[in-house]
Amino acid sequence: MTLVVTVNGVRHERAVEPRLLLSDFLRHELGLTGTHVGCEHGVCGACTVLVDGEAVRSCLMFAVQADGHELETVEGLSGGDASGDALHPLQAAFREAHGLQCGFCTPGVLMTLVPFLRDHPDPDEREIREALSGNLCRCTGYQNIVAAVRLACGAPPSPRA
Amino acid sequence: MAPPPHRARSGIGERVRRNEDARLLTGRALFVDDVRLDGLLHVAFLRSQHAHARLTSVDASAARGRPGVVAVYTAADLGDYWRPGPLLVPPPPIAGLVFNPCTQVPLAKDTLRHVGEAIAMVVAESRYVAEDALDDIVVEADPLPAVVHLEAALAPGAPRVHDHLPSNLAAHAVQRKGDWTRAKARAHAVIKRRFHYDRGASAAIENRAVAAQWDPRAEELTVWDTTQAPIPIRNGLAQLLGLLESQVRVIAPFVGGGFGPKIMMFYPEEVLVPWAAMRLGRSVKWTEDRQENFFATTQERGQIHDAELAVTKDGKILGVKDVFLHDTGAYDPYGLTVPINSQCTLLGPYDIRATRASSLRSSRTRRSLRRCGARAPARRVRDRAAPGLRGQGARD
Repeated sequence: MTLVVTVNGVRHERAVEPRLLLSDFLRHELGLTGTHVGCEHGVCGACTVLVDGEAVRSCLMFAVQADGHELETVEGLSGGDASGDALHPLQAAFREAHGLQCGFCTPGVLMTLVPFLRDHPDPDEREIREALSGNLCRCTGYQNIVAAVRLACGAPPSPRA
Repeated sequence: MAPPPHRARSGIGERVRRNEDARLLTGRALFVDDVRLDGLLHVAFLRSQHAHARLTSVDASAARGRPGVVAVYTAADLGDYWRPGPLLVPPPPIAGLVFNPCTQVPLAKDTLRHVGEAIAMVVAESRYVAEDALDDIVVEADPLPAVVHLEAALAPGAPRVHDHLPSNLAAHAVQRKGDWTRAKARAHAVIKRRFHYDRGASAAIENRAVAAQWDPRAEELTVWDTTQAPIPIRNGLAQLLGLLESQVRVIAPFVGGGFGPKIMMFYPEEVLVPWAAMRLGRSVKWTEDRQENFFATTQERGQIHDAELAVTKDGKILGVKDVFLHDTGAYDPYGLTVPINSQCTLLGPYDIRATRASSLRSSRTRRSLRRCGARAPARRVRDRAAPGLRGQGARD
């Protein structure tokens, strides 16, 4: 089947098998390997991307289901700049608050938070933890992830600070 | 209190900006599954559905005929390369030690010893085709009684996981300090407790992955591996594959959580993917899926402790005795390392003059190894037995 999608503002037209997962399409067809795959059944949230602005698990969608839609991956957040000079404010807050260790779950965490913070610009800690409940992190214990979100919202970086 | 004047310069307590974070945050960090190689082939493994079974036949002919399949390997196809993996840590010199290690095999040959044990390896033009071909392989296996519970594994007549051993006892090690019998005789009270520690999976969010590229003209092998120890893996692979260490490069790029199971295991997949890349002259990659991770990546901590604490009336611990069982799983390439950690950290920071720690390892059900090296169970045995002092009229 022929698939036409816009990913991070770039239009792609590809022939794909109907069974190809959106996560595999992004990673292996388009080379956007910032979207990570942790469980392939919608539990860990590492593969989260935006489809028309909403957070979606790309391992639970076929690529062909994205036909005609606008996608955004973690590579699109910083406008393609990997130098660290042009980080999205959320990325900058994660770096500042040590909101990542191995960093494997981080792209999915960021892409979950982008629409959440758009709709909840001043969340309290309970709301932040609820928003993150679909993203598993095995390194951090979530403390500094929550602190990073608070920092991104202009709150003190940590409740303990 | 004001911080000492040198604190600002020491870095201690200061927030340090990590060099790698910009790459991780922008999706540009390289993990093993991100490696792009020309003509890359993909691997899927057929795995045991049985905890214990006699493997009578594996027919891969239909799988080999499927379009897109490049090769299918069973134990019989490995020839001289089929051999049990290395014993990674030899046992320490403990008097009276019984030690019967059994290391994992690359593909099961006659016996299936745990759910998830690899039986056949499919190499294909895509992972989707490789997984399709798994359904084409016909396996005949006669299920055998399995040993699932730690204590049942040592019962007389228990099904044996390894036929060549007289029982499921993997090792028996006793370590002593001082005189426990005397400490017990002098004690005001002896507190006895039983502690169960369930086995757990580390479950890093990144599953394991291995990619290998063989350059036949330079005669150099490059391996990308989700390992915590690339140097030992390089040295071991060179030995297994008959290469010089200088012909092998093992790259551990960004690793998405290690937690122990990604250390230097020489997992079947880890030794088979480079072998297949050399044999086929093509780059080969395997990435574990989450279900495989639950069945084929090592686990740890299954232990049962029977602990005794000999105490005086004023709360001094005169001695500790701890007899414990440790679940090695079907294979134990790390030998005694994990239960020895439990033994040796039993006393912790306390001034305890007499100890007797015995570990009887057993229950070869599924492989089981590592995470935090089983120090935590020993600490908890010690610290959770101690509150029992209060009930014995001793000082808090």
